[in-house]
Amino acid sequence: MENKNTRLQKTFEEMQREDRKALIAYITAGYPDLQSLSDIVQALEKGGADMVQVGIPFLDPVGDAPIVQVLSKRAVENGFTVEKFFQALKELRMSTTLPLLLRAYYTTIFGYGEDRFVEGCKEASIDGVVVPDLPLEENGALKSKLDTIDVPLIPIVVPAPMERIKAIVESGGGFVYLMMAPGENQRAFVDQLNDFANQIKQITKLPVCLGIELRELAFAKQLINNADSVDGILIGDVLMGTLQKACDNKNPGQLPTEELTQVVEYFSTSMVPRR
Amino acid sequence: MITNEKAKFGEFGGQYVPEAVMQALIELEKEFNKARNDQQFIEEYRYYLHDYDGRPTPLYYAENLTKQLGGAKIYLKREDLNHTGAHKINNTLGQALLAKRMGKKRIIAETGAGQHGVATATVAALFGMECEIFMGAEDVQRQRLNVFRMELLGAKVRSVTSGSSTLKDAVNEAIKDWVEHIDNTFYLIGSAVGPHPYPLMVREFQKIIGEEAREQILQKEGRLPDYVLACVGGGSNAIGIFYPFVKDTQVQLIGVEAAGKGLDTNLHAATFNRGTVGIIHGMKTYLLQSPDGEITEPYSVAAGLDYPGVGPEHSYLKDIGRAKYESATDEEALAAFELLSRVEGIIPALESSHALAYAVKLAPKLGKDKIIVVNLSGRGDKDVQQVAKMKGIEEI
Repeated sequence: MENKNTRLQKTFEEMQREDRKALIAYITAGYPDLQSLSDIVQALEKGGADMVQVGIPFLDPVGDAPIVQVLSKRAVENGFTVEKFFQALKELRMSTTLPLLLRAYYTTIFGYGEDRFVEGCKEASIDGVVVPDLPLEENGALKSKLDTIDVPLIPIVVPAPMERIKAIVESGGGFVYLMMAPGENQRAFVDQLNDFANQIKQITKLPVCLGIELRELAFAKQLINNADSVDGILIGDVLMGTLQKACDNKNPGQLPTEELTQVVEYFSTSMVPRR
Repeated sequence: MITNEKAKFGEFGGQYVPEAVMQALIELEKEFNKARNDQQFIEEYRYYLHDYDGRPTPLYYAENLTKQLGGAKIYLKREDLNHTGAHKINNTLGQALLAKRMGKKRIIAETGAGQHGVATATVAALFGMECEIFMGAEDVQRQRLNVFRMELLGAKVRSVTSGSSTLKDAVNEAIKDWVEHIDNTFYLIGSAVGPHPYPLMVREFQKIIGEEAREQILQKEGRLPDYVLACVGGGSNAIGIFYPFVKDTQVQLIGVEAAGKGLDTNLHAATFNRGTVGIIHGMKTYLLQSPDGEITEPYSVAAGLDYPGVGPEHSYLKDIGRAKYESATDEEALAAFELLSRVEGIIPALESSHALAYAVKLAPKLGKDKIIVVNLSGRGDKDVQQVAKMKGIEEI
């Protein structure tokens, strides 16, 4: 079996060689339906996404932007189940070579069953798992199960005492998701972000990616060009917004693949080399 | 192996929340632990319980009800006599004092039918704090009187339209707001639920009910009761009266949850009788859920009982066999509501009526030498309009 950890690692190594940041495209699965998942991911790949993060729909996503709840609700109403999702994920794995990250709430994982969940990750050859509601204090059981299939639990950090950040980073792998809410002053935020990323880099060799949901296109682009200490950037909100708007306005069954590709391109083409 | 043991009751409880929320919980836990060991804080809390709330509440021998049922002696712990009409204020006073001690100027809370919102708005007014109550948009429509009460007390009511626009969504939005405004905001949870330290903290602020009841029954009867009954939604009144009796293993603890239209229908809130273990609102506990862990909407005639989960300490007491969890239907609760009104001149809350309904079933089976204590957690003034409507009396 191919070593999955390598797929993620290779991507970051490639980024480093090309001196650019990784673009992580995030989408909630099951909207407009599960059959569309592969086509959506292909559109994201075409636009230049370096990795894809697929979210399992969850009705109470306290760690996500409101759009995730809206799409999740529609997915569940359309008959989404985690079991069907893992089937779709296996098909998706065959249609793309990009690293695939799986984002799921622990509520869902526990409800579905940790062992079954890990089995699903293994079968779909997932490259990393992101669990927004599973802090350091509670992640031991799932982490040891993911260890057996060599899939990293991606650590999520927020500004906190360094001691805690260190413990969180050491409890995970793959790369570090950095969460930090942008304040009023966008200029100052870029500096704060770089400082924070640099602090984290002093305690780990893992790449550091920005995990906040960027809503404003221009601001996101500015961040991409100026957050030099960050190794990757997540775009989810704007992609899911595009998907929803198009699906609600067009005939059902017609996916806005071109629009999605264009949104990713807007970011990928602005990934200028770091100075 | 159980991880994060300090945050758990057996395997239940814990902290299943985003890292940003953890930062807030860590601060809260630290400050709560300091406060609960600070004599000055305890005295201040007791002062407000006594002079403002009116504690201790009586333990009343319901002689008429006892005679009518013809079995065990029934005592009522009169939490309905608290200021604002229910046990809720024991907790809101405690948490608001903690907020004040932490230097927070703003209090937020979730509310379903509005009772916890009113109890929170009350203490915010008392301590001069800004107050915002998160309430599902549907509940805002259904509970206009309580919305007005909260506004009268100076609180702002925020109507939540995300998700299914109900209590669980109000909780989600309150958590998000808390994380965004952690510097000046205190999140005051209304029941013994949520991530650690809330279930522990709420129990500590509600255990006064059981401490008083234990002392009062010893004084009146010279012995402990055979049964202690309480209704269970989130379970704060129940854990409040149970906890001081947990070590008295001769006392049977019985929680009564809402069977709604019946346990065999989809319309109930019987978390223990029909639920499974899962994760909700940051804790591991019994809950009503789909196979994928999505919360299913509960139902009860009593708004305060239609919570899809239950406090983690109850899950623990159930699993170790220390407490039993029975249920009462809407119909049984309504009958108990009318019975107590008629024979004792006390209109109980529909929530408390569930505990009474079980007492009505239990007492006749027991000898006259047995003693039952029922936690009468709230008064029923808030429910009379609803009951009238159900009886077909439209215009009140």
